[in-house]
Order: sequence, then C-alpha cells, then structure tokens
Amino acid sequence: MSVTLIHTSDWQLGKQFANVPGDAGAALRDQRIETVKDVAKVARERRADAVVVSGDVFETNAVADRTLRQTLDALESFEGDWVFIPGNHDPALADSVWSRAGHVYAGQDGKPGNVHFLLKPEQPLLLKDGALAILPAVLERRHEVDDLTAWFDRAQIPAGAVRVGLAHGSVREFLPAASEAPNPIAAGRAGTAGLDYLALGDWHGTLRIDDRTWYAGTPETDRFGSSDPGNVLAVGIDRPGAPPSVELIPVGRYVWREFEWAIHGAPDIDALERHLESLCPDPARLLVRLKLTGVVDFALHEKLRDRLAAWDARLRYLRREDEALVAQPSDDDLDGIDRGGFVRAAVEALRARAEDPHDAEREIARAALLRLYHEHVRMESASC
Amino acid sequence: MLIRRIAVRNFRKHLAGVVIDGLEPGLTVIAGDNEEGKSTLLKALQAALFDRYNLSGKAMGDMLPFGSKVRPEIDVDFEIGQTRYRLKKGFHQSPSARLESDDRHWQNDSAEERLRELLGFSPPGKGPAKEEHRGLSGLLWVEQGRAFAPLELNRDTRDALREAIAGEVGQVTGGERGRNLLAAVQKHHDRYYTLTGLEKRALKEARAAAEEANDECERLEGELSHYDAQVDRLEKLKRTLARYESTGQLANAQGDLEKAQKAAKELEDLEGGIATAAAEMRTAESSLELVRSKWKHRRDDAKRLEAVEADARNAEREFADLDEALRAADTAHEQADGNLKTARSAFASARSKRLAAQRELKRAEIAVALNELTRKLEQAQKIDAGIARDREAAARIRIDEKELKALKKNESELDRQEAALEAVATTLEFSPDANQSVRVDGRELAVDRPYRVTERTSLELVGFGRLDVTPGGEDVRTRRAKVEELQNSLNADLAQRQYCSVGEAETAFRQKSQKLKEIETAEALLTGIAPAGLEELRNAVAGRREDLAACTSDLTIAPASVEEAKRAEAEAASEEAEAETEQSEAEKEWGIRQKTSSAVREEWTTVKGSLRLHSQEKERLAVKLDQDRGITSDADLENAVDAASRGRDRQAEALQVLAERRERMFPDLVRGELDRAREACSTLKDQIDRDKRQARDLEIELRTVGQQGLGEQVGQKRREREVARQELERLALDAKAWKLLRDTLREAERKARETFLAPVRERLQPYLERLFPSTNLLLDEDGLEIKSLRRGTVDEPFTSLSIGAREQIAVLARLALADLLREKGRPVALILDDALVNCDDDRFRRMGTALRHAAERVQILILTCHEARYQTLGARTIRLIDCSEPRH
Repeated sequence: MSVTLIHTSDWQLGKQFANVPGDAGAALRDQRIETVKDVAKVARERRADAVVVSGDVFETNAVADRTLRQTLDALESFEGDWVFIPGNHDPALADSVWSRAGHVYAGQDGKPGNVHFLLKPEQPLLLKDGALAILPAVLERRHEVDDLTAWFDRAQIPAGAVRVGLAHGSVREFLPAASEAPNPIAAGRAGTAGLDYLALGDWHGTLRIDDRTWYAGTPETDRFGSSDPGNVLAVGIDRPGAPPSVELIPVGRYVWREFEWAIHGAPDIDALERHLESLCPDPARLLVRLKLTGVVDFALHEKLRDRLAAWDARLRYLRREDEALVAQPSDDDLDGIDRGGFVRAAVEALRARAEDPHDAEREIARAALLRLYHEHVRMESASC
Repeated sequence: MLIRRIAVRNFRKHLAGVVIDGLEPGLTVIAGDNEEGKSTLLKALQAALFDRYNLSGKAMGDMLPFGSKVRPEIDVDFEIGQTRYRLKKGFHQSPSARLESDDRHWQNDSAEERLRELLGFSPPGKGPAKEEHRGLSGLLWVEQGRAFAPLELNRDTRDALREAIAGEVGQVTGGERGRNLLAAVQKHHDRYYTLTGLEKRALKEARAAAEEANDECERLEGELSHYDAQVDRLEKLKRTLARYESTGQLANAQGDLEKAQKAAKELEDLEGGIATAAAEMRTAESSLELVRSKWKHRRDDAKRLEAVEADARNAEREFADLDEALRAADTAHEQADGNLKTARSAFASARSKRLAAQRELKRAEIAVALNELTRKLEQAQKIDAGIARDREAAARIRIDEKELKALKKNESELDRQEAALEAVATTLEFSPDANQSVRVDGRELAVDRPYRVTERTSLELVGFGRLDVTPGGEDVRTRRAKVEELQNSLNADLAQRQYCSVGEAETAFRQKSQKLKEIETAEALLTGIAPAGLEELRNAVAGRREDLAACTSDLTIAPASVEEAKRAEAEAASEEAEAETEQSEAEKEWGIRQKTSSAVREEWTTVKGSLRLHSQEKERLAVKLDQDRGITSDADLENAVDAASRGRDRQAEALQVLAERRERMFPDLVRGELDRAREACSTLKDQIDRDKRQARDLEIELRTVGQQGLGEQVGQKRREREVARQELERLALDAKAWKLLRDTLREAERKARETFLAPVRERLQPYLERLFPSTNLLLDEDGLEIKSLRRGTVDEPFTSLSIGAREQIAVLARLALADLLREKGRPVALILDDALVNCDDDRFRRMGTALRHAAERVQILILTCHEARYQTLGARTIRLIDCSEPRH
C-alpha cells in the first residue's frame, strides 16, 4: 500500500521578527499562519495520508494562546493525519505548548483523532491501520547530547508497515555550521534503522541528506541567508523498502534576499535597480538586506538616496546597511553649496573634521556635511 | 567727483537764478540765510543729476517757482577722474538734457544713460528720483534735518560698498543664500534643541522610549526566564516523583521502620523488667537503711548517756574547788579593805601638817621683805628732803645761762668801744714839777701815766692855772656817746638782776649750776632705791604689813626665821609623800583582791549552772534508753539489721542480671535506628507530598503563564526595543549633525562678519576717536546700517543715542564710507545741508577737524545758515546772496 506524506518543519509560529520593524514585521508574522493553511491545502490537493511536521512548530513554548488556537484552527482544512514532534524551540518539557494544546482541545470537544502530538519517547505511532509506522525522536529538553533516533534501529513495528522516522536535530556531517550543535542525528540513520523515509527538521532550507533522508526546511522563510527555504516536500512511498519519491513544492509567500552592492558611479545605481527588479516579480513579496559599499560624492549620494527611497516604498522591506558606503564630498559638491562666504568656510571646517581620522566627531561632521548638501539641493530645487 | 559749478534758473525759489562757480576740492561752505534757497540748491543738483529731463506731473510741477510757467534749468560742471563734464538740463518746456565732456557730448536719453554709468545709480521706472535712486549721493548728500537718521543705504550704495569691501577682504559673507541656508539649518537644529541647547521633546521622548522598551524587554525576559526555570523545576519534580515510584523508596523506608519498631518493643519490655527490679531493690535498701538507722540511734543514745555522766562528775569536782577558792578570795579582800582605810587616814594627817609648815614659811619670808622695804623707805624719804632744799636754793639764783651770755656780750662790746674811744681821745702826758699836780673836777690826777681826754675837760694845773682841753673831732663825741649808751645799758641789766658786776653775775650762775647737778645726783639715787616712786614704796610697805597680818591671827607670835620654817616644811613634805605611797600601795592591793574575788564568783556561778544541766540531761537520756529497750532489745535490733542486709543483696543480683541482658541488646542502636527509620519515612512522605503539591501548583501556574505568550511578547518587545534603539540612534546622529552644522555655520558667519566689516572699521575708527574716544561703532554687515555704539562692553543702540550724537556719528560714518568708496575709484562728493546743528561748540570744533581731514581727499560742500560758526573751520565760504544772477 503506497503512502503519501507531506513533510514540513520549522514553522516557527509566533516569531516576532525583531529586525523587521513596522508593518512589514506584522505581515511576516501573520503570514506564517496563512502558510500553514497553504500546507494544509497542498496536503488536501495531494491527497496525502499525513502531514509530518519535524519539530519547531512554534517559535517558543511560551506562545500566546491566540497563536496556539490559530494554529490548531489552521489544521482543520486537512482531514488526514497531522503528526507533530517537538523541536528545540518547543521541546516537550513538563509544561509546554503541547501540554497547553492538550488543554485547549480539552476545553473544546477534545483532541481530534487526526492530530497526533508525539511527546513520549520511543513510542511508535501506527497509522493507516498499521500500514504506516511513525517513529518519533522526542525532544524532552531543548538540547540533547545523545542521538534520540538511536532507538529507531531497534524499534519494533508491524510487519509490512512503511517505516518512517521523524526527528529534529543536526546531521553534523552535512551541516558544517552545526558541527557543535546539540541534538545530533547519525548520518546513516535511515539505513541502520531500515527507514523508508527519515523526515528531519531544524535546518531552515530544504536539504537532501540521502535518498531517504531530507530536511524539509521552513515553508515560510523567516530570515536572511537561509538557503532554499519556502518549500514543503511531497513524499511518496509505494511500499516498504521502495525508494521514496520526493517532490519539492514551494509554498512560501515572501522572498528574502541579502546581497552586497558596490556604488562608484551612476551606472552602479542603475544596475542595482535592475537587480532588484529581477529578484521577484512582485516587489511587495520581497525583503532585501542591501549592504552598500563604495565611495560616492554627495551628488551621487543624493541620487542614491532618492532611488532607494522609492524602492523602500515599493518593497515589503528594505534594510540598507551603508556603513561601508563612504559619502565623500567632491569639490563640485562643495562649490555647489557655496564657492565663498561663510557657508564655504563652514563647509571647509566640516570637511577637515570629516577627513581627520583622529576627530571623534568625524562621522557627525560627515553627516553634517551631507545634510548641508541636502539642504542646498532642496533650496536649489525650490528656487527652480 | 569734484563739482565745479552749479547754475540754477527758474527752479523753485531760484526764479532769478543763482550761479555758484569756482568750486574747489576740499571744504567749501555755502552760506545763506533761511529761505534764501540753499536747500533748493541741493534739490536742484539732485534733479539735474538724477531726475529724468522729461519728468512730468506733480514732481515736475514741484520744480517750478510758485505761480510760474517757466523752464527750470540747471547746469552742473563736474569732474570724474581726469574728465570734466558739463551737464545742462532743462525741464518742463522743451525739456532737454545735454552732457558734454572735452571731446564728446551726449543728448537727452543718452546723456542720462551716460550719467547713470558715471555715477552708478538706478533711476526709477517713472516719477521723480528718490533716495534709493540716487546711488552714492543717496548716502553722501544729506538733506536738511535728516543727518541724525539712520543711513538707510540704497541698493546701489550697498552694492558699491560691498564691492569695495570685497575688493579688500574677498567675499566673506554668505549673502542671502548663506542666510537662508543657516536659517534652514537652524530650523532643523531647533527641532532637537532649545534656545539654551537643551534637548527637546523629540530626542527626550526617543531616549525615554528606548529606555522604556529596554526596561520592558528586560522585565519580560526576566519573566520568561523565570517561566523557563519553573518549567525546568516542574520537570525535575516530575522525574523525582517518578523515581520514588520506580525505586520503591517509600516501601523500603516503611519496612525499615517496622523492623526498628519491633526491636524497640523488645527493648522496652526488658527495660520495664529492669525498672521493676530496680524499684524492689530500692525498697530493700530503704528497709535496710531504716533498721540500720534505728540500731545506730540506740548505740548513740547509750554512748551519749555515758558521756553525760562523765561530764557531770567532772563538773561536781570543779565546783567543789571553786567554792573553796571563793571563800579565800573574800577573806583576802576584806583584809585589803582594812589596810586601805588605815593608809588613807595616815595620808590625810601628813598632808595637813605639810600645809601648816608651808604657811609658816610664807610668814617668815614676808617679815623679812617688810624689814627691807621699811629701811629703803626711810632712806628715800631723807634724800627727797635734801632735793627739796637744793631746789629752793637754786630757785633763788635768778640768772640763767642765756642771760649771762647776753651780759657778757654787752660787757665785751663796752670794752671794745671804750678801747676805740681811747684810741681817738686826746692824750695828755704831764710832767709836772715837783709837787705840782693836776686836778680834774677837784680830783687829783695821777700824772705818771697819760690822761686821755674824750670830752671837754677842765684841768686845773696846780701851779699853773686852768687848762681847758677840748678834744677835737666828731668821731670822739660819737664814740663817747656810744660808750655811755653801752655803759648805761649794762648797768641797767645788772641792776635789774641785783648784781653789781658781770663777774658777780657769773659767780651766782656757777653756784646755781652746782646746785642743779647735786639735785640730779640725788634724784638718781632716789630712783635706784624707789624705782616706782616714793608713794609706791610706801604702798608696798603697807601691803606687806597686811600680808603678814593675814598669815596669822595671832600677831603676837613672832615669826620664826626663814631657814627654820623651810626646814620644818621639807620635813612635813617628806612625811606626806611617804604616807601617799603607802596609801597607793594599799589601793592597788585592794583592787587586785576585788578582781580576784569577782572572777572566782563568776566561775562558781557558771559551774553551778552547768552542774544542774548535766544532771537533767543524764536523767532524760536514762529514761529514754530504758523506754526504747523496753520496746526492742539491743539484740533484736542487731538481728533485724542483718536480715535486711541479706534481702538487699538478693535484689541487687537480680537487677544485675537484667541490666546485662539489656546491654547485650545495644539499646542506643535500637533507639537510633527507630528514630532514623521513623524520620526517614516521615521525611520521605513529606517530601513526596510536597513535591506533588509543588508539581500541581507549578502546572497550574505554568498553564496560566504559558497562555500569556511570554515568548511572543519578548520577541515583540525585542523588536520594539530594536526599533526604539535604531530610532534613537538615528535621531541622536541627526540631532548632533544638525547641531554641529548649525554651530559651524554660525561660527563661520561670525568670523565672516568680523572680517567683512574690517575695512569699514579701519577707516571709521580714526574719525570716531576724535569725538567718541574708546568706543566702537557696530555696523550691520548686511545693510551696513549703524547698529550701536559700544562703550566698553555696553552696546547703546543707535536710536537710543542723543540726536546730537546720532548726527555726529552718522556724518563720521559717511566720511569713512566716502573714504572707502573713493579709494575704490567711486565718484564721491559729500554735501551736508546744515547737518551739524545739534553740536555743542566743542563737538562742533572736533567735527570741523574731522571734516577738514576728510576734505583732504573728498570734496565737501556744506550748506548752512550759520555762516559765522563755520568760519571757525577756516573753510572757503561762498555766500549764496553773492551768487544771484541778474534776472534775464
């Protein structure tokens, strides 16, 4: 009997996006629940047997009741099985979002039969009348030193059942950055435990470890720098032992991009704009972290400022990091402000300070010059 | 610019015409009385140079003399640089303008255009030229009554001055643009800072918001951290509770307790047996103790009776001895008493004898003393009588030493005067014939010696006759008179004292002295015998007689001799001393006997009492012992002691056996184990209960806290904190940048002002020093208007100064600006229409000096009606009245 699973993880519901202020942050927050609904929709469309969620459903155990209820509500549009394990963000502690979910359900009509919170270690879940066995690695604390999937190797399940492992942690060999990370998972676990599929969570990008072992990644990107997030995996297993088919289905709404751009002249600004246009057909779905470098004169800086102001309005979110962009006034800039008189004298005094590496107010002097230039431009344009 | 000639016809007052010619460089005074048209002259000059020739309307009408329809004409000859120009303008009728130089001429509009070029002014679009249209003249030509007003430079003058200044210091001010920029920057600055440089609400609120967000975030993080810790605690509690279950810890503890309780029960039973045995043992010991005590009392009583009997016997013996001693002592005492009485009687007798002997001795001594005193009295009385006689004899001689000396002195003076008379007397020496003699006053003279005649003397020379001799000279008479006077005086003194001569007086005095000495000697003798006086001596004799009478009643018995009396007294004293010694001995003996007798009697009484007590005690003890023995005999009592002792030993042995059994059970261990097991069980139960309760409480608490979504709140707060922090950073940088920009611009502007006005200050200061020493004039660098006069650190606004000061300062400023403009090649001439009417004489003189100084470089024309005053300046004066043209 073939089994179709939707593998997803790291929903991080309740995440607040501290670095994305204002409406953009609120939109990102709200979108995460919407994306869960999208996952349910995909599962429905694919007629999946179950959605397996490999941990970190919630950003923290201490999410608000409202978030918890919204999440449970979002599950309702898929009537197949929902299988959850805790992750390092929402471990099955003595008191956790999971125990509270139990209370929420208890306060309603009881927990629906298709929603499974796997919170007890080393207890397989049998679905499809025993045709599908889910082996959970249950995190009962945030960080485990031992490999919680070790018991998969000896887990007893009914014969003929599809054997699927569900775990949250780091396959260290494949995640160099996580070599010191806790919650280790042995790289060959699918093989040693005879798993048809090992559904992993924790890594926010979609990542294949081997034919039977995948990180689904977060369905809705939540940070700059994640590699290939925004997907769920549709996993098809025809029969026990058969190699699984894994299909990557994009569901994420927002596109997060970070890059560095050097500005040395007006053409660089044009090129930057072209690049921004190419990133996403809908700029309202695009979040950009733009690190500017280079040396520009005031005139060019003014231009860059104007252009980026336009992009700031157009994009969902633009984070400009221009510490490495040096605004250096040219003689023309300064002449433009004034060629003589006290204004020019002030300009020269400020320039001297801005260029003096020992001046503690060097940056302030530079900022002051820029402002003066801007005022000058404003007055010029007003008089035109 | 140098104005050479002005000719005016048909212009306002000057209907007849006036020509001022031959104007020179330097200072020229054009004097005219009021209404003579000197101000009109300035108006004509302004009209010629600045008004359009084809001016019409009211302005043109104003040029016409009242009620005339003539053609006002004005000619002005002037020089600019090296070029001489002649300007002729006619208004109203056939208006025209013509400007000629030596080699060119310009007509009408081109003439006026050329004038504009030369003088640098901006004519009005239409209408008459006003101050602002007259270029530099607007500044330098001062109309009557306006000298004290602010300069109000027109645009052309300002530009010219700016150009002149810029020619020296370059462009330093920022102009309109700079001011606008600074104003804009100031506006930005003011969004963040108050006038006094304090932060405004925008910054303060951002800072407060950042701090608040941070505090709130930390608070929430604390709460979340507490929540996490509580979750961990719950986890631990649950694990602990599970461990209790899985290890059966409680059941084990309960098993231990039961075992310990059983052992403890056994121990308790044994200890009950021991307690019973110990109680029995104590009873046996009490019984033994009782009979032993009885037996001991019996023996003690017997011993006591024996001792009392012995004591009574001893006391009886002692009493007998004492009784005898008491009788002996009483006998001795009586004997001593008799002895004492005898001795006392003997002593009294001896004492009365001695007193009698003493009285007799005293009487003998008084009798002796009386005899002596009586003898002295008689002797003294005799001497006293002698003294009385001598005093009487001496009193009869009446001359004393002083008087005698006076007599002697007078006699001596008489002798000396007589000798002197002798010396001057006439000496007659006679050598008569035998038997012949000489007689004087019938008496014969001894002729063997010379005869001195001191007065007229009649000598009878026997045998011859009479010879009258008269000694010559006044001196003999005087001396003689003196001698006679002295002789008379001496004789009188002697006669008064009844002496014949001085010798007799002296003898009498010597006798008197002798008597007095004898009296003195007798008195000394008397004093030796009766030092206290004769009367006292008499009293002493009487006193002794009374003493003697007092010594005895029988005066008939003559007193014995002193020696005898002394001997009798010594004997009596010796006898008395002996009797006293004997009496003393007897008293001492009596005392000893008395004491002995008392002591023995006291002891006798004591022993007698003691004897009675012993007897009573003996009797009591004997009765008691008899009674006790009647109840229990001594032998029975002794047997009862032995029986009780054996019973006690048996009980002790039984107790020993039980105690050894108990020791073998290690009772401390048994009890310790019971305590431990009981406590362990109870503690464990408590702990489990507590853990369960805590876990339940924690679950409830965590469920409540969990619902609040602390994690999300923290996330949100962190976001807000970040936003607030970034906003604060942005605002702070923005504020600092605007502040720095504003400060830098202001400082630059301040420096620029200082630099810009330097050329003006440089030229103005020497003029100012003449009238207002140690002051500075502050000018507005934009309008170049006079702002204030600075004295020390105080700025006085120009408008607050007196009219006189304003007038003077404004003229000086014009002189300075004229200097500057002239140096930069501008056509400059100064015309002042009665500009110094408010000066006192001193100021006027100083202003005159300043004007003369300025006129060395710039032509200055002064229009005035105070000719006399200006004559003091030594300037060339032109009287307007002399310049009138004859009417055409």
